[in-house]
Amino acid sequence: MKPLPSVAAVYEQMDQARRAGPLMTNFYPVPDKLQRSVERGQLFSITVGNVLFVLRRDRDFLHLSFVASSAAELATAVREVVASISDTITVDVLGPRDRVAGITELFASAGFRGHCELHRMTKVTKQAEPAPAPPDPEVVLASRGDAAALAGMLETALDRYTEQIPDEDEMARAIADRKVTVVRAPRESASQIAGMLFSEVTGQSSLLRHWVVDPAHRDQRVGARLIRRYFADCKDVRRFLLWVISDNHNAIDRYRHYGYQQDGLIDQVLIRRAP
Amino acid sequence: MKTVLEVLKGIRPEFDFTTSEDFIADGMLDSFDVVTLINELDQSYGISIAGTDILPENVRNIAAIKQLLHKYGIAP
Repeated sequence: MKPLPSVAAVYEQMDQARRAGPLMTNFYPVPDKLQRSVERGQLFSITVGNVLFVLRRDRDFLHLSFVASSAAELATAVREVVASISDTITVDVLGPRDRVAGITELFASAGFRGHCELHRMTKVTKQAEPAPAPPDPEVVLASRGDAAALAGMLETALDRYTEQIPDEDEMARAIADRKVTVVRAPRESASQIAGMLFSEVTGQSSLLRHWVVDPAHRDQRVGARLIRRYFADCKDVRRFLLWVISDNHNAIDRYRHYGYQQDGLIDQVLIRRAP
Repeated sequence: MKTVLEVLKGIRPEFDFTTSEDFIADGMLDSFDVVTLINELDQSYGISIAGTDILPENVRNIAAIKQLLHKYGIAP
């Protein structure tokens, strides 16, 4: 497993894997995110034949991405690479269900097990919707000092293998970029934060990454206030996206209530636990 | 043969790609869409776009995509 020294090296290695034929991949590079991973020494590669594997360290496990040209080559290479790594490994296989099934089987035959299935939900608006309500004074942008508490809140509430949980550094950057809103807990409360919402807006699209209410503050409409503020802040967004765990029916119903629909894209999260 | 615009509309029908000079910055294509678009271009035009060309700047707008295709001998 070699550290990847630069973003350019990632693309060069993709090129080698690509030359043998059509693209088969779960690697969707975003150059600035890649750059940060390279700078933090979190990105590694392994090449087996014509197949490139990119591994990103996240806490105590590795996210595995692949770039291949055929299922047969990938099947052989996955077995080899998995045997050479002692850490827990996760792989996200994205696509329409019929395309994901074959790749999932291939990883299963190399020792991976299904961990979770995520469904993408999309809400498309025809034009800018009017802000539904005046600004809620209790929904505020998170401040720098909230980073540790918010990262801890997500770590406690969510599954690290499934949910791409930001660490404290990423949370601090998100706060600086005004991507995180919170409802603060009353002073007498044990927690600092009653609820939080982390979203990313790019032009006309927005991804709702995390929307979490502290268990001690559920049924107090904290979540509803956060998401109303989110929609009000996204007046120019036409395409809203999020990922939800497929058997979390309460969440799916809630997102439908706000206009989201499953769009057919799934993310099959597979895991090979450390031996 | 599909036009570039038809390929783009097939991926993200909700957007009007004629109004943007930067599909990535305007949120019309994300990283998953970029890889999907590369595969669609490969299939639609019978080419194999190199890994080093799978860059956001090569699919930033219709002119950039046409320039990329031109590199592979395609004039859509």
